[in-house]
Amino acid sequence: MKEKLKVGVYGITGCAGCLLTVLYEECFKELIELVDLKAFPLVRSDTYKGNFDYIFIEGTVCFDEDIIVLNKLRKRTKYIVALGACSCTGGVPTIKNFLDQEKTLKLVYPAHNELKEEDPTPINKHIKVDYYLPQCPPSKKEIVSFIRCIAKGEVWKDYNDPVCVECRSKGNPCLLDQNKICLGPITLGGCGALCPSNDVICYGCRGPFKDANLDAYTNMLKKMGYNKKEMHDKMRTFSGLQFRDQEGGKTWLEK
Amino acid sequence: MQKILLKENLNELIKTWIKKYEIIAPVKESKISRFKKINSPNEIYDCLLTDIPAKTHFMPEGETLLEHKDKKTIEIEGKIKKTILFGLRKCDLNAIQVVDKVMFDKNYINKRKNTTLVGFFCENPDKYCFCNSMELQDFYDLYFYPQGKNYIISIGSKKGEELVKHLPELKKEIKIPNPKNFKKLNTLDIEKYYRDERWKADVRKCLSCTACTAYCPTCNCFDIKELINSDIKTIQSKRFHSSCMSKNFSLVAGGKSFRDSRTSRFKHFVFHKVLYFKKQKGRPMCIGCGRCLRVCPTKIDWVNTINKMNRKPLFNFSRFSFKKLKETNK
Ligand code: SF4
Ligand code: SF4
Ligand code: SF4
Ligand code: SF4
Ligand code: SF4
Repeated sequence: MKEKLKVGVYGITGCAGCLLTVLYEECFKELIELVDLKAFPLVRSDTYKGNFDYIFIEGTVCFDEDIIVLNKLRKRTKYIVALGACSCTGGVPTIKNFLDQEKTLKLVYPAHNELKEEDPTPINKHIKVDYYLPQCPPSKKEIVSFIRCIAKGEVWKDYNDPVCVECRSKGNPCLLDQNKICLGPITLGGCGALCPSNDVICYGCRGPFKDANLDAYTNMLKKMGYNKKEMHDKMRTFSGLQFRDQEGGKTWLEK
Repeated sequence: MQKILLKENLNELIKTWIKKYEIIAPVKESKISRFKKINSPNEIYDCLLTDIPAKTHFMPEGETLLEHKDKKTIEIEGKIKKTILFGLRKCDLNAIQVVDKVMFDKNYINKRKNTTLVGFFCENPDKYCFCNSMELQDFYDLYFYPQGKNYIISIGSKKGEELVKHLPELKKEIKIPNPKNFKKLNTLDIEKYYRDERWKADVRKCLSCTACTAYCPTCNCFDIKELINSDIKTIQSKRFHSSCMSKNFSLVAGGKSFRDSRTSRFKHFVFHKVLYFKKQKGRPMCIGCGRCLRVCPTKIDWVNTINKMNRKPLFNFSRFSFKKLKETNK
């Protein structure tokens, strides 16, 4: 039999939600049966010193130490898999980029002013990332198919349509018709339109859809009676940096 | 042949069908209407058109078509009980006729064979219906036309006759009119409008959200995804709806997409619906139900755009520079 792939699961600054998702029975079974799980600091205390084929990383770069960890991991593996919204697009911590940084730091960490903070950024701003499994928390189904895919040696195909595609195919009523700001048309799908299927707007946790028509989207929301700020408030929840860049890099600072 | 039925006896008739058949009819659940199995005639939702068309009965999202194991492939046959698809409109019926022309997998054909189509005349078409512009034909197993206290039931096939055998025959057949339309597509000959600048205004509004194609009863394009099972030995090929409005649709190995620009995708949608299909199969693909217009989140109305071009064609084409043409065609 072919030797199993060596896999590690690590986290930098994050809520450990993605790591916990991997621990769900469905995903964990695949991890220990189909691949060789060498390191997973959250649940394994032993330290593996060798190299990996795949490393999954959760979390956003928020402190200088995160960058050191990332660079070390990159050197030990063939492929890096960004796991979850924080890792792929920056996630919720990136909201800080749109606020007064100093004030925010003092507000959140009044006692720890020795922390060496960085602007919160996704990991691909610092190291090369080979695969992305976005979403907050990442989809178990997608993790499972990814592991099966690499274990079988198949080529992984990213989902490449907006959330609306799955939402409409599922036959959901559209939330835009109820005059809600749903980010579905400009967000990368693959989640099975999880939120709209449960009557909640899409907050864009899988990051922007590359081919999105932002102008058309903005104009539509304007006609629905919303202004730019209300829109940006929604857009920066998970993937503000990317949406901002896609819109032409204008500043989104709250004043 | 035509039969006659008192309106108040319709529910009774459906009840007798339910004993022998599975009935799929319009129902409304969580704010959206669609075709679904019913157990009693009271569940039927009385509407002009369901939001989601009847194609989901023949091609449900994510159905398994093939199973691969140990280097063998099994084709899954779409076996279903004898079914009545109830409450279709003239456009819905024609949509099924259109899709019949292009779907040939066992799965589809088996379901189609075991389904009887029961249609109803539209008394109150809305401002989006333009079926009379689309060369519709009489296609049904049964078609109900309300007249006073009665339904006149036209029979289109043996399958349909089976359902109403016991009803009295109408002595003098009547001609069933077309539904009334408020909207019209002025021309089907749209080849000359391909380079018209006025598509741009529509394209600028298009989100590529694919809602129009998901809701269109004649859009039958699909993608097949291979899903690996947990033993990583068996693989299932499943069919999912796919749409030419998405860049992915024409993506080939190596990362090239043949319809990279939104303009070319949007025009392809309209031209396939109105022109290309007609060239191949002799009738337009679009059957004028107007679902794409109702559902579009940015309210794009391509029918209106064609009408505008028809009313006022771009004069003197030769005066456009080559560069400009290229831009429109991007
Ligand atoms: S609810 Fe949201 S995701 Fe679903 S179709 Fe409407 S805009 Fe798209
Ligand atoms: S619908 Fe939007 S917010 Fe919800 S999981 Fe999908 S991408 Fe994330
Ligand atoms: S293109 Fe529009 S009007 Fe024509 S059949 Fe499809 S949904 Fe109906
Ligand atoms: S398009 Fe024609 S057949 Fe369809 S619902 Fe409207 S009036 Fe009826
Ligand atoms: S529904 Fe409207 S916005 Fe969405 S792809 Fe179709 S034409 Fe474009």
